[in-house]
Amino acid sequence: MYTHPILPENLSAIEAYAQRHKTPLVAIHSSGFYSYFQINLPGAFPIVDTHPDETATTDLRLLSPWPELTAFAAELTKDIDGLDDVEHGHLPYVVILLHYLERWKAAHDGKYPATYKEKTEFRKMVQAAARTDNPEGGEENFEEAAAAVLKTLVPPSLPSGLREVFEYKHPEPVEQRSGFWLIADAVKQFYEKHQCLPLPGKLPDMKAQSKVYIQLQNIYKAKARSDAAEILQIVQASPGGERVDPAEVDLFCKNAAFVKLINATGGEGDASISRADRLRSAAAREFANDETAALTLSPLSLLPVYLALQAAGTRAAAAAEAVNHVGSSAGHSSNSSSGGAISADEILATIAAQVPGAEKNERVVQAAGEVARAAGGELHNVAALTGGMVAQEVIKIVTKQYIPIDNTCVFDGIASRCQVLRL
Amino acid sequence: MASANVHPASEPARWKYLDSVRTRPGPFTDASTFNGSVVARAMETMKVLVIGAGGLGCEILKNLALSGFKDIHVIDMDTIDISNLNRQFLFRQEDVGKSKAEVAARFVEKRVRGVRITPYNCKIQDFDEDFYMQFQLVICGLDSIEARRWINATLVGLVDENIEDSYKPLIDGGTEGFKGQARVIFPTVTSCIECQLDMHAPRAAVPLCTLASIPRQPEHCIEWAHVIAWDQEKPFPQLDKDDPEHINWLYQKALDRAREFNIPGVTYSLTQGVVKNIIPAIASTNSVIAAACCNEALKIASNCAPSLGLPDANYMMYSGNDGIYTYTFRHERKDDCPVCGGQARDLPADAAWTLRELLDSLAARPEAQLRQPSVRTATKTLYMQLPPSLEEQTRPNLDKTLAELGLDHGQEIVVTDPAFATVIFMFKLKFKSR
Repeated sequence: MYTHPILPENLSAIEAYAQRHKTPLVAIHSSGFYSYFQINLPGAFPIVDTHPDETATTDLRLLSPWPELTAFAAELTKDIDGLDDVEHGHLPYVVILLHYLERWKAAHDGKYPATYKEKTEFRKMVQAAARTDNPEGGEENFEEAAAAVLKTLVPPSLPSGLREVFEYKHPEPVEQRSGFWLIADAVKQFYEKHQCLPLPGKLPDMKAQSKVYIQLQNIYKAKARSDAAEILQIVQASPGGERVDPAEVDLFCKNAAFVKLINATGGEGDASISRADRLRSAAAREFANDETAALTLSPLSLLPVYLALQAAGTRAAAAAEAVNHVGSSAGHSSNSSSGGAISADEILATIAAQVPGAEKNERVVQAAGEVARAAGGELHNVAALTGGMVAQEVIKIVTKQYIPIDNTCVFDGIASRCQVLRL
Repeated sequence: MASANVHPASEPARWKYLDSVRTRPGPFTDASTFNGSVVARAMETMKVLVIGAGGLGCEILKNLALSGFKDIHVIDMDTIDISNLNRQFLFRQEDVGKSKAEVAARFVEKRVRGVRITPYNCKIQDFDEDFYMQFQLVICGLDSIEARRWINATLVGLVDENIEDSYKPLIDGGTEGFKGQARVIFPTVTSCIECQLDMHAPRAAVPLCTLASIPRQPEHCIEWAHVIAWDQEKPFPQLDKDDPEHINWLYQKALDRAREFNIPGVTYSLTQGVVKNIIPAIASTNSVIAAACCNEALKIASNCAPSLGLPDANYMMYSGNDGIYTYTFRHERKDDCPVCGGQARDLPADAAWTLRELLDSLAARPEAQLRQPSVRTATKTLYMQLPPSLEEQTRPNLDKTLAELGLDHGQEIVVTDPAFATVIFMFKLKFKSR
């Protein structure tokens, strides 16, 4: 971790070290009301334990049930109209939906409700099946079933995060790949064969009798276990697979839909694009977005803040270096952080050299003025806030949990907001 | 612009960077409210109240002291627990058991020369309006919605449109795991904490019948031990959620029940989490949110840049789960806000409900969250929590239906709650159409 401004010679020493030891680098720059920090990871960084929101993880496979699940639902509902009120009012909603999906299919050439219109029709069918002549005047489990229709009746698909993992082109040979990549390959084979991901196996809470709920929970768990076992088998059959921890396979299967790849383009082909080119194309993209921001009600880009800060940092570092060279003969050590008062015009001139034309953008001009006011000094709050975010990202990278930023986070303490940019 | 003069009040070298920002205008500074020559002195004499000296409070006190504020007051009724030490960095092992407000105040005073911090080891409700009137700015770092609502109602109540000094900006921070929020309230001018209450929906309660007869989750077993078994068996006179022996009793009970129903997953730490309703606190989130709050304090106190609240966004949501995401937006005032609005708020109900069911719904509804409500109409007392004689007299009404009590669609009712003594909640009954 290092802070800007930094002497160019120190920076190149740090970067060389990080490259040699494959160490993640974090660059931090805070000045006045503005700050940014930038994470530089050594290559693609996959995360399995991403902690998605509980509600997002429900995967009930109602449109592709396996035989045990189908049989269980059929058994509980074979005489659905003959059930007493207690039994009927405690059918788990998964069972209710499976039962009425069968009825729907029977009436629709064996097809599931697919469009929004069909799903709302199906929902009406479920709602109409609730008993209302009981003392409560309705059934909570049927309400749960109706509420779950739009969210759970989705055909299996490949989420973009995992697709990126599947399509990633490795710079290194198969034998040197980590457990993650061996498991990812196995999951890919599994997906190609079954056209769905391994079942996570989690059943959300729903109105049901304890015993029935536990049975249903066990059906989901058993299927998840058998899917994971199949993947473990594929892993172990691949070169290097015998050293993969089965617990790692289990975790991957549970989280497959939420696996994420950070810094993916760090792999093949990306090295050819220079940092300067990336900044220019990011600028073109961000400024184009800003043209339509008012229409799309989206916030304006914080790229101007980044441009102004790093331009001031570049200037300050160069000034400190000059002082250093002159001063070293007089035994005068330089303090790069007080490389200080750079004018707005100097900042804009540096930006013009990096991203030609950007210096005329009104928001870039304002940001340069704001950075000039700070005269290279930090405000305690902005430094504390930035430090907090950096600490949080370091925790995520070290523990390989949650999703780190990819790769630059800019903070604007005047508007009190952040933006993450890939630069 | 940047050539404007710097105006230090005292110790120019020490506050060099702060002064170059707060005493000179920038491109976003509103020239009509900014006077760089008075900023430093004004901040040194400004009285700022911090509520809470815990995870956020420690950060807030440190941030204010290092931002040029010199007359800081802090209220916290809690004492230091060993589990606080991982993030409440103003406390040391030998401080365990001492007052948070006092230890935090002494630490920051010692560390930051020239700052005076006045601690109050008590509840915010122990003070009257005169006490709150002396401050120019209030910053909250609390974990309780109830305390936030109380201070919000008090500050809105202070406003007298003839007295400029009666408007006390309120800055509020809150965190939960990697998520948090920072918001600024200008009482009676911008949306207040009561207007925003539905942003903090209480966790849905599990129906009692699930706990009693059809548990499915480990949490159901723990809640059963907590709510039902404890009451039946009373193993100790009073449940102390910080006593490991008590938690262990609940854990064993929950475990037995879970075994009976074949429910996996009951652990000691889950028991503790469910019973104490523990929200995990992460030091880095506290740092982010407290700093965002104090950054607003600096902007409000100096006018050197526009703060949240005026004129646009007043609320910043922060999430660090998936990358870093902030959503900074304007939360609108509500005309039917019981604290700063004045109109009665619609309350969905049913003529067939008993009064008890209506009161239960007041506790559960995100926009009400009233746990000890007393209710009356303009002409008739329906139920009073206090005094005991009146409670006894009105108790039979609890089992009467709204129809039996003569309450009709559109009826306005007045609700009070001892937790918010100064607030009168007005609701208008909206019966479901049948």
